[in-house]
Amino acid sequence: MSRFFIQRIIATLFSLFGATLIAFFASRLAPGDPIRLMMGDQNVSPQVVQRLQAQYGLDQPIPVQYVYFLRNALTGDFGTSYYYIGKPVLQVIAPGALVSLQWESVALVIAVALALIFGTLSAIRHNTWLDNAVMFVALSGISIPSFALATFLIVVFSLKLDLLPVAGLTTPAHYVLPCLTMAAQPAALLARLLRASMLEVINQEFIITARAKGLRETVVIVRHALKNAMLPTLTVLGIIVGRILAGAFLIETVFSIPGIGRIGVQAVIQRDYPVILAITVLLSVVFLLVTFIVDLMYGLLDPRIRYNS
Amino acid sequence: MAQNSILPVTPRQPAASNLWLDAWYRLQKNRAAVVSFVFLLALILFVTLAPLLGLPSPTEQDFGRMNEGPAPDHIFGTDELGRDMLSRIVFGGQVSLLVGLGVQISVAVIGMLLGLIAGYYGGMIDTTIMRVVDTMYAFPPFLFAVFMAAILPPSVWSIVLVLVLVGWPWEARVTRGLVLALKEREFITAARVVGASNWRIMLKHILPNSLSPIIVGFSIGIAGTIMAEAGLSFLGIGIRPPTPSWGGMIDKGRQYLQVYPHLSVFPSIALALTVLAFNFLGDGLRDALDPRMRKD
Repeated sequence: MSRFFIQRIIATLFSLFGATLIAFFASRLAPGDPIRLMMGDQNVSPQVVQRLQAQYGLDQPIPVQYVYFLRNALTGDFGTSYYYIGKPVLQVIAPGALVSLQWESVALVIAVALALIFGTLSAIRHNTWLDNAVMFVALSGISIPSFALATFLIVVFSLKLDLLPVAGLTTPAHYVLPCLTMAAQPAALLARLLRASMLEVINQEFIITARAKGLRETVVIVRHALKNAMLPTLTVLGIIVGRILAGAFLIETVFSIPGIGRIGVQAVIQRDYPVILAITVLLSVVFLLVTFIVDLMYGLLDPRIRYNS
Repeated sequence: MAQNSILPVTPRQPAASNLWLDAWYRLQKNRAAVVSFVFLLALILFVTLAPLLGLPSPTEQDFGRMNEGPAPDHIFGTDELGRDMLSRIVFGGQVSLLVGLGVQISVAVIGMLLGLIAGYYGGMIDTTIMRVVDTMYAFPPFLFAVFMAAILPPSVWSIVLVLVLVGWPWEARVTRGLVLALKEREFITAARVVGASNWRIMLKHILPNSLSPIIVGFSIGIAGTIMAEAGLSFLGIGIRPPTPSWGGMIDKGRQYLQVYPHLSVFPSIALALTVLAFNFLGDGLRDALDPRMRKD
């Protein structure tokens, strides 16, 4: 049993190491000398450039630079921004991280709630018009890119009906459009999976037993069927969190939310490579952690996984 | 068996069928998939023949007629520089479809080859390839695409490269899984006994038997690629102006959303319909090709 956990920990650490390696070396492919980028249009003498290169460790071979990067990153030091000269990268990112965490959590909760309701409904009304309609909407939901959906929603709910605000994240009403736009795809994905999984569970003998005992239908569905059907869908939770983390680049741009995604897009425009690298690494760490926790939960909830591995 | 005549007969079901013919008949019964298939064929035809249709130039500006709504000579209106919207959507679609197709073909070739080799040879080769695949899975895919697109020089080829980098690990993993399941089967042993070479076994015996999930993945993969390309273009790091792209048009139109919503809405509809069609087709193909779904 503990072997399963140790295996997962080692695999996660390995992925973490590999991801930082790929991200760091790729970031060194970026065109332009970092010091020149930092100085912008200012005219600096070669001596100054050399001194600055030594100061930032840029005169070292790239593998050595990677070791420095890793060592510093572990203490939360991602270097300084090229754009906001002298400002530590972490200070550029930190204010956005909290904002993103807030609205993305709301989006995740909405996605799971929508999926639970519609996935279950679709399964218990299997092959009816309701099931077909829900599944049609779900597949459409998977297919409409979030920023295109955002365009439609803004035109209808903000500009035509004047019901909801378009930009920023100050009042609860500001959360509605970004969270719904973000939740649409994950909800659709999860609902489809939950439906399939419910359909497998619902014909099993323990459900017949539960009904035979005279339990109310809601108890049979929620306590017996849904509880077991949710297990296989747990595996995609990691994928969904990954989509939300990366989707923030688009949604936060559309709705002018000062989160980590918008900071990332600005860093891309400003060619602020240390910030881009730090955001990529940090979001990947969050993603890996969530995947790791989901794996562990799966192992805890389903003994078959633990013993087979 | 004498009672057969009272059973409903499906006339189009062929007596002798193979997997592909069977799949074709099953696909035809899926209305959404058929509509999508026809829509995509029409779209591809329209977009390929675009230069012959006499559309206005997608890059020619007319400052006398900016931000106009639909009119007889500009069916979808004009954009913020007076360029014909229909023409820009058609040529933007050309780029999107080419990128989608090009990326998925490369992903299929690279991913299938690596997956075949990993699954067939096993051992150190397998471990090495799968370690790289696992590492790529450490990134949320679109995050990695944004990261790489920010670093590489701005060109269509960079976007293709980025999306291939994002796509191949999935393909390799799926192919490897299929190979692992297939390679212990008797017909592979039989091929080996008669002296077939490793490459012959991989390409002639294993590959054709693992095509179904790969075809489904191809259609859904194009949807994902087009969506990712549009997302990158929307952020300004995908297809760059003056080359028209749906993502870029949606982004530009956002500034005028209040007054001229058609600038964003038309390319959004084009993008959503295309992605939708590839997903519905993929979904239909999955049902049609999956032997476990067959009733008889």
